[in-house]
This record gives sequence, C-alpha cells and structure tokens, in this order.
Amino acid sequence: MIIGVGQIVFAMQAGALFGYALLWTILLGTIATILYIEMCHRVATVTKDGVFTVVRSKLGERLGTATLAGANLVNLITCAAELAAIGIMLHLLTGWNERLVIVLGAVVLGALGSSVRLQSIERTLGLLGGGLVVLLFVAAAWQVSHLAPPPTAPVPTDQTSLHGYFAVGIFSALLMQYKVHAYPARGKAAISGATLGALVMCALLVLGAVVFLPRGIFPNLLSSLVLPAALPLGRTALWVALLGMLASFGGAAAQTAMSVGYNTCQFYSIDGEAPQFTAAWVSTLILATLIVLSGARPLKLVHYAIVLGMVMIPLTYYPMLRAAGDRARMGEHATTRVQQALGWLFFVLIAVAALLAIPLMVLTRAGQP
Amino acid sequence: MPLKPTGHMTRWLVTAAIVAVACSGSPIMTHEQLESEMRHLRSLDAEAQLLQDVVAAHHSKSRFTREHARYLQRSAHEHAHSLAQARSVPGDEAELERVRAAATRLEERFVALVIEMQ
Repeated sequence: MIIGVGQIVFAMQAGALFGYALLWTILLGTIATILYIEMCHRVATVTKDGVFTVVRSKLGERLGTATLAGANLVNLITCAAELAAIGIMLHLLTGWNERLVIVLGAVVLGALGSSVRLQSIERTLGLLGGGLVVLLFVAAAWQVSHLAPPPTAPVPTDQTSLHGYFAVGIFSALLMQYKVHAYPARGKAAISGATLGALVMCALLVLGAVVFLPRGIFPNLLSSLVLPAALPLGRTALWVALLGMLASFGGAAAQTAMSVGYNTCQFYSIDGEAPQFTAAWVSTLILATLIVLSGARPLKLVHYAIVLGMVMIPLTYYPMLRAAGDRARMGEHATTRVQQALGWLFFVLIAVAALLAIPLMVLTRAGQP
Repeated sequence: MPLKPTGHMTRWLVTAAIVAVACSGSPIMTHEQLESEMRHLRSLDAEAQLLQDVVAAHHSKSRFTREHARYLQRSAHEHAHSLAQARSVPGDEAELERVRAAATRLEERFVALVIEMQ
C-alpha cells in the first residue's frame, strides 16, 4: 500500500496539536472512502465506465471539463509535493544536493513508468513501504505503552478554526482522488488499501500526539516526521523509516502522474495505452519537477493539494453517486436505498467540508498554529 | 463644493493605506501573527532538543543528524529573515522586537548545533 505525504503530514501535525481529538475524522473519512470506492467499482464492473467517463456524462461538457482540469491540477500539485518529499528523503539518506536528487528521482520514476507497468511499480514500492507501515505500528505501540498519554484538554476557542482545518484535511487526505480514480476495477484491493491506510494514519496521529504534543513541537519539517520512529527503536528504525517513506512517496508520485493520464483518457474516451496517456503523465512529472525546482515549499504544496483536493471531491463523488444508483443503466446492480441514503448523507458531509476548506485555509494561514 | 471626509470614507482611506503599505514589501504582522511566530520558534527549539535526545541515545546516523540540523537552522533563518523585514501594528513594536531577538538567538544556537553535528 502507498502512503502519501499528505497523510503523514496531516496526521502527525493533527496529533501534535490536538492529541487524539481528531481520531474520529479518520473513521469518518475511511467510511466515506470505502463508500466512494465501492460506487466506482460497482459502476466500472457493470458499465465499464471510468470515473471521468461518468463525470462527463453526468455533469456535461463544460462543468465536466472544469472538473477534469481541477482534478488534474490537484494531481499535479500532489505530484510536486511527493517529488519534493522524495528529494528530502534522498538528501537525508545520501547528503547529496537536494535539487540534484529531485531531478534524479523524477528521472528514475519516468524511466520506470515507461519500461514497467504501473501495477509492478506500485507493488514493488508498496512492498518497500510495507516496512514503514510495520515500523509505524511498532513505534506507536511502544510509545503508547512507555509514555504518558497526551493531555485531553478541550480545544481552546481560539483554535476552533485550526481544529476544523485539520479535520477537513484528514478527511481529504483519505479521500485523495488519485488513489480511487486510477483503478476503479480493483475494488476489493482498493478497499483493503483504504482500511490499512486509515490504520496507518491512526498510528501516525498517535505518534504525533505522544511524541510531539508533550514537547510542544509542531512538526513543520519533513525531516522531523522521521524522528518518532527513531526515538524508541534506534538507528535501524531510522533507516527503515527513511527508506519506507522514500518508497511510499515514489509510489504516490507515480500514481498521481499516471492518474492525470487515466483521468484525461477516460474523459475523452481514449484508449489507456495510447500515446496521449504517456504524454499526459510524462508532462505531469516534468511540470511537477519544475514546480519543485522553482523553490516551492514541500509542506505548502501538501496543504494546497489537500485543500484543493477537498474542493474537487464533491464534483466527482456526486456523478458516481448518481451513476451507481441509476437503475436504468445499472439494473439489479444499482445501489440499494440504504446505500443511496448513506451515500447522500456522506455527500452532504463532503460538500460541507469542501465549502469550508478554503475559508479555513485562509483563516489558519494553511494550518499554522 | 469641497469634499468632506465622512466616517465611511475615512475607513476606506485607512484600509487603502494598510493595503498600500502591505503591498510595499514590508509585511505588517498582527499581534496574533507575532504570537504564532513565537510558538513556531519555541517549537523549533523543542525539535532541536528532541534531536539532541535521539543523538544522545545513539539512535541517529551522523548524516541524518547533520542534515536535519541544517533544515532546522534554515527554518530558523527564514523566521529571522521574515521578522527582520516585518513591521508591527501600532502598539506592538516591543513585542516585534522581542520575537526578532528570540529568532536571532535561535538561529545563532542552530548555527552552533550544525557545527557541533559536523
């Protein structure tokens, strides 16, 4: 499974600020993600339509094109954030020049993408990232059993906006579209991945709460996020954490770049093996590299990607909700009334979160305490 | 007939003046922003202490320690730089000076930390 930089940053920062107070958003976000993936899988299995084929048919040409542009912009910013994070991890591992390793990382990903199938890249990097997952659970369990639990004081009234911002951010990090859209046909694997991803986010939030909160640390550097693993488990754990994060960010960068290709091909009904697909993901990778080299801050990119991602989610969730319940097209495979009611309930939650995302970002200066 | 400034006009003029100053390159920091800067500086200080704890426990590789210390120093430098260019709202001049001094001290401490970790 692949853990994006957004999940790591938002979970640890939320734990560092509010202790366990935001664990509920992980549960809520996971239910929303599973519902969303199930709808995408259901529609893809019956009609063979990808998410953006449905977006075009349900939203029309104009709004559909705007949704495609927005979703691809989110993927581009996310890809840039992942590449910046790759650069930092490689720099911490090798000590080489950060710009050089960013370019190196992008070239390696590009070469892998053109010679190996995405599923193989994902599987290999996911396996390497698996070491990180195990490490995070062990570190979280050790910290919880050896250190005092963080204070559970109510959120101060002057931090209500910040609390809301991180609640929306965690919700969005779980629902990030590149994880859902690329593989609508792999429903069960995607649902298991979403569940494991949620558990990893819980471990990260616990680590943030137990390690950073009592020390008064708000982790604003990616290199700081590795320390909670090293604190109890030593040098080997530090290396596993660095390599695991590197693998995870590499997988996420590949997924986001290729998601641009999938979205575009689905929208314009182009074959997924066509040159346009390659052109779309290669140009995303190049543009993302240029954004990072221009000096954009990795954590700023993460926050922008997560907030813009939240704004875009209703525009893809709504068409899928409509398509999955469409009895004329789906026949007996259409969602039941209970599923539709639950889907609409979560649509309202998603829409509220989307409406609040940008105002909360402005009010909190992108999550600054 | 001469135009007499009304309360509404005055508010607009003051807003325009603040916008003009804000766009002139010297950002104005509100009291809340200064408090936020101070919280960030304290957090960076605590991060350096955490790094030193990890090093003392022999749980870190020297390359990681060195590079992480450099990231901390760079971050402190950025805070000191933005505070040096900032202006406070009237009445908060002393607070701005206090935060500036804290940022400068922290940057100096981190320079020493980087040298120590070499």
